Amino acid sequence: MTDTTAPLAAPAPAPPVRTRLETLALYVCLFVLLAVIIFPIYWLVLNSLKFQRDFFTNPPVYFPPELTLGHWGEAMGNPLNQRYMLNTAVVAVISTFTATAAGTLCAYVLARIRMRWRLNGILLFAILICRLFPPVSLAIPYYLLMRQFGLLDTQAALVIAYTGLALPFVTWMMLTFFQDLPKEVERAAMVDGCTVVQRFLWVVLPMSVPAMAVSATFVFIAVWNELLYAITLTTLNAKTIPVAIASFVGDNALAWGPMSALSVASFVPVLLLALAAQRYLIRGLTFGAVKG
Amino acid sequence: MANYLRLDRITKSFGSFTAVSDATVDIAPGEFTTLVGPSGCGKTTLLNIVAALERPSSGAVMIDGKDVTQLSARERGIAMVFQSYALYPHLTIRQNLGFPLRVQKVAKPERERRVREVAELVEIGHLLDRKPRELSGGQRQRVAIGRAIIRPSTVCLLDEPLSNLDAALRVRVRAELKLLFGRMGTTTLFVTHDQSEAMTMSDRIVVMRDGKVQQQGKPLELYQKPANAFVASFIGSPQMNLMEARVDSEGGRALLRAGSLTLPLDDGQAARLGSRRAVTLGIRPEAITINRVPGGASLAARIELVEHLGNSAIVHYRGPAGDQIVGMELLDASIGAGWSGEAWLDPASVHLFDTETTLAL
Ligand SMILES: Nc1ncnc2c1ncn2[C@@H]1O[C@H](COP(=O)(O)OP(=O)(O)O)[C@@H](O)[C@H]1O
Ligand SMILES: [Mg+2]
Repeated sequence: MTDTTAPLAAPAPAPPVRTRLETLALYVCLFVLLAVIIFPIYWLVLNSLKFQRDFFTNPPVYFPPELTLGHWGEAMGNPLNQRYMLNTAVVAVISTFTATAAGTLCAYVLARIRMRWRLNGILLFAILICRLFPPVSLAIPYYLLMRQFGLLDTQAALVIAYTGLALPFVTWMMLTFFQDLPKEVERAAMVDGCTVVQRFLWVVLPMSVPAMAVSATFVFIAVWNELLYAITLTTLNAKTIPVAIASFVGDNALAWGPMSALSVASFVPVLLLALAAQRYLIRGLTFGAVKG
Repeated sequence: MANYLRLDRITKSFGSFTAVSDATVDIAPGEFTTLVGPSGCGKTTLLNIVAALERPSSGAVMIDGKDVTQLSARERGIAMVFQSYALYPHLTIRQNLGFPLRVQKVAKPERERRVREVAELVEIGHLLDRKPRELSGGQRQRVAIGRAIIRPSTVCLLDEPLSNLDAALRVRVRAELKLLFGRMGTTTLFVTHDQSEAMTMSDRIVVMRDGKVQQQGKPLELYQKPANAFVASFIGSPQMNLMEARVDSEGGRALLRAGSLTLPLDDGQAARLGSRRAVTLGIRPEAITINRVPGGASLAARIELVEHLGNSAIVHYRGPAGDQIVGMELLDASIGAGWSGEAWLDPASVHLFDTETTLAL
């Protein structure tokens, strides 16, 4: 046999082998990056578990030989802190729910129903304006408003303020989502005989769950950690965890241990929520609606 | 239960762009009518107007003689299959099929029974518990059709339901669809950009171009008597040969000269020409053959290319003047590129169109 039987195609070239040096450099970079991100969290967790005597050593103790749950007991056992934790949860859940529901409805109307006098555009612009204000500039008006209504230092004050602040954000996010949602599915619902309300409840809403979950997660995290309005609008009864954490600073000495324990404790729900919503952050439900 | 649909002088503008212009279409009860035309000619827009998804800028939609232009999709009782199928992504196939009944508050057992029935009819009985994203294109298309036929409708609209299928499946499904709708007897308006689908499936065809209705009629009517040069070239595959011809006369007899072709005309054809000096000449490929046609005209030509289809062949000729013309042969002829000789045609089979207006003479 001669050359005529040469294979039609040359074998695919082997993928370039990464040199050891490159691999090493990659891992060093990764390690540095990770250290920058992880270290503060590690330090916080460590602080919540250190004995008092290990706090102010020089040089600092990175790996203390002994740990204690004492600060956790002190922070979590304190009935006031328990109350603040409950306040935070109630306020965050209610305002997240209200803002997401109302924002989604607003967005749907703005996206799908054309109103007279160019109202769609005007309302949209108004929403954008709201988002441009620095939050601190609205804190004082909110304070005066709540005082007027006798709502200072109540959970209701925080719920109202947070819902108001989150509404433009949710509306904006959901509006983008609705504008990208394929119209044909809704048209199919119209042909199948749905009224606007049925169309929204039976078709649009189920398809919007992922987008709503993502918006809600952002709102929840923001509200859960919010400090400025909480400090302005509450004094004692309706205090939230961020306020409680902040108020460790100041008085006499700084109670590093309980403060760290409380911080870590308040971080846990947010972490769980982010993990739960991860599914929605990754997968879009609209796939399969139109030819995919 | 079949209904009569009439679109009366429908015009639809988007801003300054007119997508549909003065379209009047009548569809008899139970008729399978196809709306065909190139992409962007306004077929979907017209369908959306029938389905009340768009309001016409002017004109009326009538069902059974009643003006329904102001009624919603719900009130018109129309069913529709969308080009993208538009299944509800969050519902199972069972729920997708049952959705129109759920909206009409049909009781659950009855709904379940109908879903079973329709699922068997469109052969998706084994897929009922899946979600749309777990289905192939062909299966989704079946679900979309099932959802459209599960409840009685006044008119059923189908927007290019076959365009997302591969070629083999498309040919099979188009026959199935035709049978299915024939059995149901629903008034059907089917949209496609594919003239062969239109020819094979329809009782009647409406040809559109640039938002205007060009011609409507039975498939063979359109094929044999195209109203203008556009319909002539759009309907039929391979396309009709269209060429500019000069009117001449020889020995008192009218002649057409187009490139290498000299075509004697009979008295009827000559009369239709009137005083025109130029005309557009249309010749169907199957009218041109290498076999001698008794009493026919011939032109000297060389075969440049032969496309074998198995049962027939498309033959590309080139005349001495450099002009191209396409003919068609049944395959018993042993033909091949390079052959030179005479190609024949019957002068009575040619179509004549006004060069300015493109209208048939
Ligand atoms: N909502 C709309 N706004 C502006 N132009 C549109 C709209 N819908 C359709 N058109 C235009 O109308 C023309 C016809 O569209 P369509 O009916 O979808 O064509 P077809 O279905 O025949 O391919 C296209 O040129 C398209 O760009
Ligand atoms: Mg279309």
